[in-house]
Amino acid sequence: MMKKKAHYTKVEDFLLDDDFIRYTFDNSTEGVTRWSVFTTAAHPAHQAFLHATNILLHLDDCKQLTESQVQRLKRRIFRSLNAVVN
Amino acid sequence: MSTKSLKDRTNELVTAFCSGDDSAFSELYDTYVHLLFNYGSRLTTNQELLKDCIHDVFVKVYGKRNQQQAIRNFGSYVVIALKNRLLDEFRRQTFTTDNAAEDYDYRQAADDIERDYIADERQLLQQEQVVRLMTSLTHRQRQAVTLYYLEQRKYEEICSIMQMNYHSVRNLMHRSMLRLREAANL
Repeated sequence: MMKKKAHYTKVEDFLLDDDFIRYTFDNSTEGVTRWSVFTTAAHPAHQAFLHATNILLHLDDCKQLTESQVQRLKRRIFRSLNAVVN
Repeated sequence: MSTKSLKDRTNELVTAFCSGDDSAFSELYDTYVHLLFNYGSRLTTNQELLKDCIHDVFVKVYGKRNQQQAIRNFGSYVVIALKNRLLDEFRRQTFTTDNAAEDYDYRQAADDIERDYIADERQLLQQEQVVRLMTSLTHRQRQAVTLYYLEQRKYEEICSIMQMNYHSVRNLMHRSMLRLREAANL
């Protein structure tokens, strides 16, 4: 497990935190208090928090694979799975 | 797709996949591959490494098809799995001295993380030092230094704020700097 930083300032600080990832995807009530402080606009890390959320939910700053890359990777995954099964 | 509908659709697909439906697995891949690639791109610039790790994540997910509980929260599961897979690769590169992995250039991302870590540590040390030095000043000196260096105010403004004449402010700043220099050399 990664050592957690005391203060989160950068987008990557959030993106590397398992609890933040779970909070964003699972809407879990666990840890709401910890993360809700970042939702106030006055918090110095508010923008980093929002950016990290948007990256996780694929809402902005999107980097995408091309369709052919997506299909090649999918074929590779299925080949690996077939190799395991056979 | 909204977050809620993505979550609902994902849950349906996970249930179908765990019941043996391979097309559901394929759709899960289609739904999450871009999200994973976008996320991973924040951690590494090495696209080939990233694609390898996404591959490994989906192979791992497939192996969990009999453990629906484990992949119940599919979104967070695959993102955390990808993050851990990438960090394993960064660590492996850091602690590997031979050139067995010459096909891949992991150094860039590992260096980024190391560089960020060192920068963070340096910044923390500097902050602690600034706090320590500032405590060596009197209240008036601290106020003058804060106004001049942190708030970037002009001497005329500081005179007005502190209700002091120009020469007094200059003297105050001069004495503050002497005190700071002395404290820094302790």
